[in-house]
Amino acid sequence: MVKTMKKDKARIRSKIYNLGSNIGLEVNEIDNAKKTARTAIAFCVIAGIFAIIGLFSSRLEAVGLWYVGASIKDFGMLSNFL
Amino acid sequence: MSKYKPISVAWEITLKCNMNCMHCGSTAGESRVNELTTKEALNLCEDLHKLNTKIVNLTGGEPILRKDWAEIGKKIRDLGMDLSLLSNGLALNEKIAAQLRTLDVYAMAISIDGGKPETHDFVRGVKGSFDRCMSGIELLKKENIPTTVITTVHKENIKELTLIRDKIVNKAKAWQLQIAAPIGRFPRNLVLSKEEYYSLALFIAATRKKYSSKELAVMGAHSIGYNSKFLKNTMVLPIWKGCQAGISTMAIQSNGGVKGCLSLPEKYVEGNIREKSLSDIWNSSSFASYTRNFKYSDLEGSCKDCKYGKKCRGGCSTMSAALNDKLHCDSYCLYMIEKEM
Repeated sequence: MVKTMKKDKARIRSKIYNLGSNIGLEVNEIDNAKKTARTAIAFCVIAGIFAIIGLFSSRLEAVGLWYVGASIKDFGMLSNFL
Repeated sequence: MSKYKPISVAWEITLKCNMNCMHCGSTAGESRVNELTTKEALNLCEDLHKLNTKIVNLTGGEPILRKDWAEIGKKIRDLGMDLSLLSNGLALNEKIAAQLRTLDVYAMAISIDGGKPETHDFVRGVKGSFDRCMSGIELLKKENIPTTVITTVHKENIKELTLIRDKIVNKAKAWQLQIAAPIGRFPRNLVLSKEEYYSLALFIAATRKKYSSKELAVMGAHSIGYNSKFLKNTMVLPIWKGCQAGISTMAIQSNGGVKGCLSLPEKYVEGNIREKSLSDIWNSSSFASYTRNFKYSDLEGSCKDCKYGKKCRGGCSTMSAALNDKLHCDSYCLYMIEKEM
């Protein structure tokens, strides 16, 4: 079972590298795009913080449907967290 | 009174356009028959304000081609709402840049759809448009206007993302990537495959790490992301709360038609402000029932029984409707693609 899991992980990893290199990404860029245990934990914490902010800020309700152009100003507010 | 507020509104002020983009979901070109008059448009600004709208996004067609766009923009700003414009950039000049500066826009979004001039020109249907749009971006930078580049990704340009990135880094402030949906005049065979879609998400996550938000703030639009096990966040916020059409966003067509989202098909027009007040349309118990009254059992296709379904609600309604003629089953989902790997 452990062997199968390892095989699966390796297959997925190689698949992700293929998908990245298909569009010209370098190996280190692909590595940087992947979640690590640290980023996964940070992600959960940040998501929690935003869920709390969202309770008090109606503006954040619309975030998630930026099909008409997000602004750098959103990042101004958020870049400290992302 | 509905508990929902149209915080962000997409308003197509005209369908007239000076480009002929292959992926245009609105099939823009000529103005719609009977577009709103200036007086109607200014009244609409007041109605939006009364509904507690915080940001109005003027789009088209090409919004700048409407002669009174700046008057509408000023009214929006005078009422205290934020204003952003979604433009193809072709008509940008110093006078318009100065008007944008005066209006203190929240964002001016310009489309760049190729890393090579010939690709952008081919996708946009206007020769020489790449150089003009890039000059427009330079002009906006000079005027210190918050500029967002928008790239609509499909099979014709996905391999040029790194080229586009090299050209706009430190020029545009933000870069929004979105996928072309098979709507309007966009040919279905040019829609990204699911693997290409995953590559796009990978590209966004990688670019966010490669550049600081001061150099280039990169984000995927609402239709890119969803619960990846392996990739870092690709969206503005690390949260996807499901399609917001009719929940916190509203769309208005240039003839007064009202929908939850501009990209949804015509059958989703649920009223016209010439026949009914905007407030009555928005507050109607039947408006956007597909999102407002969503139930877990509404999930369709591969989204059925998904553990994320309650929150995600089956992804982007436009993609779902365009691909499957049903809502709540957008298969362009990182979680689902990873399950199939």
